Amino acid sequence: MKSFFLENYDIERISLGIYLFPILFLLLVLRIPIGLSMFLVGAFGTSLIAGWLPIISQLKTSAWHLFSNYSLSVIPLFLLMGNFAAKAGMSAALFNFAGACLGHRKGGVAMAAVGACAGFGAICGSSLATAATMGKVALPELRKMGYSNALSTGALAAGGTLGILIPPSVILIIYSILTEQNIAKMFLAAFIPGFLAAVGYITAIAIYVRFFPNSGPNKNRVDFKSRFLLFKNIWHVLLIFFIVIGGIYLGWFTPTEGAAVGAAGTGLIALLNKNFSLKSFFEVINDTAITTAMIFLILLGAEFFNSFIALSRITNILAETVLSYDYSPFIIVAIILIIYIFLGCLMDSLAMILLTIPVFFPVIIQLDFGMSIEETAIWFGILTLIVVEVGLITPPVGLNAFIINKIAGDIPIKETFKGVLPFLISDFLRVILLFAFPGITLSLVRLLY
Amino acid sequence: MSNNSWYEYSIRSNDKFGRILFYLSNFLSIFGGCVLIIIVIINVFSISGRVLFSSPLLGDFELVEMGCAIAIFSFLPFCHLKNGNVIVDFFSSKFPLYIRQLLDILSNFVFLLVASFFTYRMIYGVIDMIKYNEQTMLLKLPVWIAFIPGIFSFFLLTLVCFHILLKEIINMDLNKIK
Repeated sequence: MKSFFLENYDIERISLGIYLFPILFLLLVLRIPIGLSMFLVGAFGTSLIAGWLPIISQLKTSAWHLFSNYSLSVIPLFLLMGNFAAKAGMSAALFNFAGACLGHRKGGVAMAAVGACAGFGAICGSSLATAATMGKVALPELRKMGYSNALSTGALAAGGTLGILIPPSVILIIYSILTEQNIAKMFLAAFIPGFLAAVGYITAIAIYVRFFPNSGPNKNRVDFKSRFLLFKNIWHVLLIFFIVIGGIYLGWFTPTEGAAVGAAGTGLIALLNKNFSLKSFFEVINDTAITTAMIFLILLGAEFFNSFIALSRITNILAETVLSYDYSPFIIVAIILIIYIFLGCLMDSLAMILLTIPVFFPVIIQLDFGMSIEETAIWFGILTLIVVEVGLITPPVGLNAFIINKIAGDIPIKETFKGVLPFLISDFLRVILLFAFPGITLSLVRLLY
Repeated sequence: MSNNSWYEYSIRSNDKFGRILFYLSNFLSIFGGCVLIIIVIINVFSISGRVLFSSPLLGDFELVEMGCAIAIFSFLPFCHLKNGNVIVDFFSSKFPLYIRQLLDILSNFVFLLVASFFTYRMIYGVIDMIKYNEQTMLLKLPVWIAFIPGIFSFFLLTLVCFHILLKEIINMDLNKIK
């Protein structure tokens, strides 16, 4: 097999790697789907290094091997779990309970929406599903109460991001698989940052209504007895969450089995819901189908792209270059996070993770943060998750903001992005806090393992 | 997950071929969903067997792997038909409509090529599997059984690409190009 370049010339391979990045970027600009672009560049690059034959034979079974990978089977199952939850009427129960607990404060209904998003995020691994489901329930109520357009849509768009921050989280699963980390530990580590996010958002609302008192009126206080009665409608949400996450942590079952148990749980509750029809069942299946296929097509492209990245040794050179400059490791992480925030303005969160983690991660684990490699990987993963999630609520492509805006129908998108601003500030403060004190993220993992 | 109304319009097909494709891919996606639900049931059985009676289901991992692969394959055509594949439209959203339409024709043409090439190579893959009699570890299930639906899905995906490509070319406003 005659290859295009002499295989011993490392320099050629690396420059090939560097040249193909702009080509990938060009394909993306030309509206070629992300998975397909990654496949094209990966296959082309690999063939220049090793010839066409390996690619052609890899094509025979690569899709099969990827789709039948046991650790990836957790993804469709968690998506199914979340989609059943969306149709099971849990969102309304969560919102009513949170409203009874927080509604008497100023801006309390918006706080309740954030709280309900957090609760829903505990059984749903996707931000978009959380935003869409909670938006349908909470937005009419917020508008009826006379909440300002900016606050009501902003709170829901930001609240939706709790869907991926609070475990289970599809993005976190993919990060764990890419970097070969333990999913149970990643989930545990996401717990405190997710909780901080919910508290931070609620604080942001409290401060916001101080400045704009008319934007968030309050309801009457609800006594404890009726709160308890409302709690009866949501205990199964907590039960499913603790069985799934606890079971995975305690080693009762694998993440895939945990996701299956969760899907069975939310599916059962959906079946018991009297509004659940055959039509909603088909909707659950079709939503799961579209998201699953979208994710796996990107994964398939990423498989080819990543093997090219590995062949080109571009990450080795990147790591050597970065290390030779002798910057503080924290500055390097800060630079990467800033890159993510910019990329998040252009790109889908999942594609961003799949595109950049194979390049950045080998560099990160070679830096010395005074932690073990595993702890560094967990800390970096959680930080990445948060900044990637910020991309969901920033213009111009903040999908969460668009989803809520679409549900509202008549609110200009500018208002929504204005409303998101206080939550963005809270996000940035949280990123700085978790960045400066890795111990916050790692405390649960250190305590329980 | 881009929202192009003209695209949605173009997909709402009135022709027989398009309708058949829609029903087939929707049927396939429902079929995949049912496989996924069977996987859920298998897992629940296996866990309860293991925890309650300490007798796990033999080869449950293999069933999950095979089932998941079949389900994911079955989801592909429907996702593409529903325009579910992610593109970056941050830059191109400011291009004039006819350029975007041209780019989408190009992109679908590439998609068609890749999907048909995958289908073609996977047929060789399944021939290999039958020839070498590849089996799963515990249950000794022949792997090619699950491979066949996969090939069918990729074939249907190819047809979907072809259909969308035709639609896009027909809907293209030729006057604007001059």
